[in-house]
Amino acid sequence: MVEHCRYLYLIQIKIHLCSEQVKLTELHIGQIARIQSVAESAFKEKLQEMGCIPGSLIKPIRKAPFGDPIAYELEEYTLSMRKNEAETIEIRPLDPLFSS
Amino acid sequence: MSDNKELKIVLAGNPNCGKSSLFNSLTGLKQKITNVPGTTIENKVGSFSVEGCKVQLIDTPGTYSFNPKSLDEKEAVKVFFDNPLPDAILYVADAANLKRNLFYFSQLAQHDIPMVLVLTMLDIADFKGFEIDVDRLEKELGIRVFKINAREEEGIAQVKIALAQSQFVPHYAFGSQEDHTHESHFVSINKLLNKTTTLKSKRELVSNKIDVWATHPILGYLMFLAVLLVIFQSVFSLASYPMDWIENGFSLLSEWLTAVLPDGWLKKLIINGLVAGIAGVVVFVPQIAILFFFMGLLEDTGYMARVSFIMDKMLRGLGLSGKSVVPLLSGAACAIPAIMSTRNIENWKDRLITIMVTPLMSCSARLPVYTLLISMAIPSDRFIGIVSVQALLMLGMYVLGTAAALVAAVVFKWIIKHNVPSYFIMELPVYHAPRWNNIWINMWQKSRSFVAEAGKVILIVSVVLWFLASYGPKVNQSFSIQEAPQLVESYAGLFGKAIEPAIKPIGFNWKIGIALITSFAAREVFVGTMSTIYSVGDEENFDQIRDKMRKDTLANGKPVYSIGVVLSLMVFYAFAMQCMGTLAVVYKETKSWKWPAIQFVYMTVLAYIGSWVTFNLFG
Repeated sequence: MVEHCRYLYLIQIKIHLCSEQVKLTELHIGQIARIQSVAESAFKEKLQEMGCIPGSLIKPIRKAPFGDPIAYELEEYTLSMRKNEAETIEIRPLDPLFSS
Repeated sequence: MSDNKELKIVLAGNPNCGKSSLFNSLTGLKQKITNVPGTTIENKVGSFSVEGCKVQLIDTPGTYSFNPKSLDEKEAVKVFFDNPLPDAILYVADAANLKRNLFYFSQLAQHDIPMVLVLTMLDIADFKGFEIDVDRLEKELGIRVFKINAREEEGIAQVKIALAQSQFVPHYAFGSQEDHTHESHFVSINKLLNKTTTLKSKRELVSNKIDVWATHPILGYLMFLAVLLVIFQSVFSLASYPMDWIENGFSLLSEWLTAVLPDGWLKKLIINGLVAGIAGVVVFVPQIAILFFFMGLLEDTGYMARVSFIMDKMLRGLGLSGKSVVPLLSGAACAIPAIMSTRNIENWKDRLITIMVTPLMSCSARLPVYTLLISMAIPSDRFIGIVSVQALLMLGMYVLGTAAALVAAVVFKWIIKHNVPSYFIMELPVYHAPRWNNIWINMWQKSRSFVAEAGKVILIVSVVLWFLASYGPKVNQSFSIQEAPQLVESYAGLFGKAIEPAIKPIGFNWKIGIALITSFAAREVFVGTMSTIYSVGDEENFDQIRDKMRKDTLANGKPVYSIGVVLSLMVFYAFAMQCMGTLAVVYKETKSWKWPAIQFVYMTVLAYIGSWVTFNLFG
């Protein structure tokens, strides 16, 4: 049993270390992540003033019918954006063990 | 403190932060608040006196930053460039979402203007487990900070006093001397919030549970459809009573005026021009008010943002966006306030396409025309199963209008060149129980804007058309303006005859031609004109007008109003741009005559082609 747990723990750490910078659209619903960067675009400024800033926590919570747009929990509120917009945001998924 | 100090104070904050509620509490002035971001159309001014100061409070549309993205955000920021500069800023922030709410604050804090910070939505913050140390926040920022529950008017008096004194400029350094990027501001805000707030627990809001249903791929749309059905059912059933009262009231008024006023052209101008014109405007107020009551309800509770969310993908393919839902639905009442509500659409192309196609939605002025024509074309006792054919045809006209609007949007999407990509980055506000007071205010203000915007134009056009329909050149008395004994000999009648060759291919005769012209005041004038042409005494008696129209025959004995002509006429009214009020508003909103001109041409061409096809199919 103890062996088993240790094994699981190692996997978790491995996930944590390997968690790479990916696009926001690659997150699953409910998976929490930290924003790394926002790419240049016509709407970069809009995203930033809505709180999409490196370091902010973001979590997809719901997709609209047809999978687009997507509603995200961004820090303390719900922000909806299209896939196009979400693709410009690079994130790093958080370790599921330590996320709420 | 001097006796008559006058202060100019600007109320600023993000959308949905409870800013307008606070404005109401402070000034007692009626003002709209809503849950869809950015629906305060113009800056509103209210005033109050405190400690010998006369405070002029300017409410601005909710804004996310000092770099405006949409037209109503531009309005909001403009006050900071107007002279004289504001003496102070009253900044309202949603305590449940303080980080993002403080961003605009951090930008305003650099303008060396005294500020007062008010925190709202404390119940939601509480529920989320947020604790804010107000004393610490005051110390860090160097300004007065208040917790306010605008709905219960707690602490309003304290805020007023703080505003009258308004002497503290925020001294907290957001960003740094050389670095004022958005990122650096958020870093400073985070530092500030780490010192002043604590997060105790995290609980899921009820909002999320409602959204599971409201944005469900099947149930979400069914729910929206059900909501629409309830709204339209109520609009038609409820509005008919006040509309009857208004019509009766105005007919009593003109009877009274007929008896009281001395005979002459002035009497006719007043009764047939002015009073008839005003009646034509006022009679729509009930339908428009009821529709806006429901729109306000949907916006205030936060449901409208979800509708935008589930409709965005579909509307995007058509060159519109989720934000076009509100204008398009409002278009079912009246295109004028609907077009004004496009101001929160950031993308110029999305907004323009929405403006261009909204008048195709079947507005309430088309309703009396449809009602008269449908009752003429189809006997009321005809049913398909249990559904009356008349009702089905009426529904069909609404579907036709909506479909035309969507198709036109696709065409404009291809034609209008604009290389700034459209985006849909929108807050989904937390659901609220309806704030009835705000919904009433919203309804009142929208209806008033209809009366003010449309009323002026409709009234002027009515008077002009009354003149054209009552006077004409008499052949014998060279060029002198004479009262025409009949509509036929008036300027309008002559014009109707002049355009007859042009409208013959779509099945219309010169009598309909006259009605098409007089309909430029408002489409429902069609009914009144028909009653004048067929000399029906009682203006609004559909049955009489209908019977006289039915009896009108061609030279060969066939009825003038065959099914083909009636359907063709209905299609014409569905598509044609026959509303001067709308054209005037499109000019105001696009700041050029180009777009109303294009709108007029494309809708008229569409109407002509549509009618031609209909006439040839059924005629």
